[in-house]
Amino acid sequence: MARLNVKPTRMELSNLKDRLSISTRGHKLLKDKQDELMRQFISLIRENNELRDEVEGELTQAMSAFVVAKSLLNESFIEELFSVPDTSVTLDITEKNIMSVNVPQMNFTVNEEEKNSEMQYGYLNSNSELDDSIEKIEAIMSKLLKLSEIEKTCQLMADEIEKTRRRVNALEYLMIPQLEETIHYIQMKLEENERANITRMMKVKDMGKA
Amino acid sequence: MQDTDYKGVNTLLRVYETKLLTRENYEQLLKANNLKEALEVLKSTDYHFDENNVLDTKEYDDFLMNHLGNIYQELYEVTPDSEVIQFFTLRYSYHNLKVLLKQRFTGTDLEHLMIPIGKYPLSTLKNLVQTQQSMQLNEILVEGVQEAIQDYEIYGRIEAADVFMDTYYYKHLRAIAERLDNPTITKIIDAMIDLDNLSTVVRSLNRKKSRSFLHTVLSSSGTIPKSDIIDAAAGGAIAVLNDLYMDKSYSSHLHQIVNESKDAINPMKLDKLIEQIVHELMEEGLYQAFGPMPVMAYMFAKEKEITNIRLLLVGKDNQIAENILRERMRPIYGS
Repeated sequence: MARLNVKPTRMELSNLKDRLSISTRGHKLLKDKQDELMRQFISLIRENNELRDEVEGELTQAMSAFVVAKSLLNESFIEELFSVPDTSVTLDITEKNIMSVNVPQMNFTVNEEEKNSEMQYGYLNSNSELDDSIEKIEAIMSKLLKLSEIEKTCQLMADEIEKTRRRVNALEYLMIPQLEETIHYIQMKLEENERANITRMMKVKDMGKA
Repeated sequence: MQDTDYKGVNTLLRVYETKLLTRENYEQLLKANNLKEALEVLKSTDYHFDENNVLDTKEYDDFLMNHLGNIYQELYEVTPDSEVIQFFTLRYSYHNLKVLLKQRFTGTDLEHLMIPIGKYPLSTLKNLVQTQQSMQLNEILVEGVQEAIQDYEIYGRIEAADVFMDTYYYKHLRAIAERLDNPTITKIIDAMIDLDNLSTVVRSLNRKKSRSFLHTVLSSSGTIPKSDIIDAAAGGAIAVLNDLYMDKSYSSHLHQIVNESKDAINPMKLDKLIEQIVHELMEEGLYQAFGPMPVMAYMFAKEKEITNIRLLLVGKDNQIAENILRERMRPIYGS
């Protein structure tokens, strides 16, 4: 392990000892943060996986129903039916702080006032299978939005965990050993200086006697 | 209009009929392992397309609508009465009007959704939606557009485009049937509108729509009064069938679906049955030597052929099981 390029003085030793104590404390704090982040991340990722499996299963079913339904109709007919959405959704994003990670909290509001008509699309150029597939897709919508929130949170937390892990590792395997080695080196150097000094004093004393 | 006026076009149709896809073609399409193989089969028929382009873009409707548009164009030129062709092309004209109306209501550009099929050029339809007036277009069509725009201007409901265009489409069909005054065509229109109303009731009841919704979406152009259908719908879809449809000539088909259904009618099966009933009514006129029925039957067959091809191509592209595709295939001409 490389030693820091510093002068072996008492002043430097004191500085390095301070730095070591801060680094050790920082390491402990960061390690705790990493553990807590991992704990929350694992529970989130578990929830995310369950929701993703659920959404993917339902969405695959709904999409294959939609493909079959649309294969019996002209594509332009279908696009025309849904060219003007009958409802709009407003998204409010607030931030939530999990272990210093700002994760989004999404609130989707379906504007119910716009849903004043039962007529979503014309019945002439559509069919019953299209009704079913649209109903299925509509039912998945809220889960899909929830999934987007959890996935984004997981992504942000994963980034933070990686950053924290890098800092912990840097402290644990680089910074702290370097400081310890340098402190040890300075202490040795100072002790050696001390011994050299004593020997010189003894020698001077002997010369005085002679 | 004399029935003998159609003898030229009917002779021509006998040639065109040979170009329609046969049951063997459909079997080959159904057995194809993927989209490429299905397109290879289709290439050997009357359809022309750039295979690589279709494989790349998956835009089947481009070449299918192009093919259909050419056929309608040819038929418009050789058929003595254009209203016979309109019977089928009106659906596209009213679709185009819906697109134009929605474009006018929302200010978004939707022109790519228009289908250039129909008696009237797209520019004439655009002009109608812009000015609400037209000397060239049928008055029913003009009235429909005026009513839709007026309703939107008062209530601001975009769905007025769908509601009014669907209603006036049926009105227009009825007017064509009355003017053509052909008993077979009238019988077909009667069955089509009544059965479409039945399908709408079944779909609406499955989605638990209200009485007022039924009032909006049902057509008054059928032989069964709309109010009777709405009243009977309170007792469920099977009640509608039993009370109002069992005296029809095609009731034997409907018996079958009632017997198969326990509580609710399967709308998918009903849709297929409706196609079968109309197909059989069309076939009644297929071998008439004179009159407009062979043209009607040919156009119906062509429309169903396009639907079947689209179904099979989409199905093969998405690896949909053969039995699912077979179940949904529409009747095949001459079978």
